[in-house]
Amino acid sequence: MTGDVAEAEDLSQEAFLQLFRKIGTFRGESAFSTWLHRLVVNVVLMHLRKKGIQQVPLEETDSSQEEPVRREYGDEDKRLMRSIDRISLDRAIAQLPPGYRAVFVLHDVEGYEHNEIAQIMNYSVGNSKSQLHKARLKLRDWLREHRTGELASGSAADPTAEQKG
Amino acid sequence: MFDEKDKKIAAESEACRLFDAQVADYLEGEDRPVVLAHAKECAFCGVLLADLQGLMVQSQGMPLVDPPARVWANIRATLAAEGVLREQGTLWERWFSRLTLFGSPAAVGALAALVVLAVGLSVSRNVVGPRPAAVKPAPIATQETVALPAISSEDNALARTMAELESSYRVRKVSFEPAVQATYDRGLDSLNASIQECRDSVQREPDNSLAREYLLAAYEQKAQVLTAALEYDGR
Repeated sequence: MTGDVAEAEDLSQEAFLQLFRKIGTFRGESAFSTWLHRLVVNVVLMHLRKKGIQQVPLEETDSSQEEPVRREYGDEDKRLMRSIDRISLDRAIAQLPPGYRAVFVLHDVEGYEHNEIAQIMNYSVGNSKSQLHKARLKLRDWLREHRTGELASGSAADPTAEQKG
Repeated sequence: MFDEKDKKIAAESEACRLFDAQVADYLEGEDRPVVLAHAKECAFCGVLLADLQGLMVQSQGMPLVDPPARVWANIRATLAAEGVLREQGTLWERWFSRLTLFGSPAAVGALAALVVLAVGLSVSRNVVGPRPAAVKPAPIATQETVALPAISSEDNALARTMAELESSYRVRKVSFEPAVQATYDRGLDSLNASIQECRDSVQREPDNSLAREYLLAAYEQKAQVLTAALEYDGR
């Protein structure tokens, strides 16, 4: 969720310390995993606020200002995921805005449902779905740009690359 | 008047907008026949849908990473300093804990010297020849260490953990008084020498179970000393 390994370690440490200190406040009103994740998300968000990072607002976003889905691509286009490895995906996730990244990681990587994420992140189920979709679109755009860059440099180095497909 | 080409573009555009509006729900598993039908007709939207589905599959397969050992060591050290954590430990650890052995830097050197002596004696005896059963010393490690898997993978994992703990220790020891720092360093140097000696023995004699046992015991002692150093609060 931080996009940085050292920060993630520091925050993991802080989250576990908070867990030990606050375990007595758990009242069983939600699942323990949800309570724990909420605590972790709070630690991360507090950290990001302290750092002054601009976050995607947690309230409903204004759909009138949404970017259109990008469809332009060249003849060389192939289905993206055949060329994406985990390292690229890691990098792409790291560049997502924190709010999008949190929803994406919780849902698509860790397998949480939207109602659980809504509880953890303290917003509506609709907002969770909307942010997830935008996160996926942003990832797709970033991965395509990243791959286009690699293809361009690959083509420059190897003039037969285009014919190879 | 629109010609046929303009009409087709307008229809595609409208269908693409409808696709955009429903594709997120479709990916959530909801029934949206429009999405699939349009993805088959429109190359752009077809690729978009394939990309998003591929992204979901890739993400589900991403490994979840555990924090390294130094994070746990720091957590333990902080909680112990706050008095939140009271560790039970094994009988061996409780015995040492009662003696406050690891909390005292001066004793670390003595302990390390003991371990070096024990390891040195046992390994050299074993290299020369098998010991009579009657003089077999009590193992320093717990019995579980005997049943550990092949030394190479275990050794690698232990070496990595030690490296992480040592890295935390190097950061922490800056705040120690010079004499305390020197004592811990001497103790660790001795343990490192023992570990090296045991590793050499294991490499020379891969079937020497006693050398393996002492290697693991030396690692265990080193981990305890490093943990103690991380928890050392100047008293």
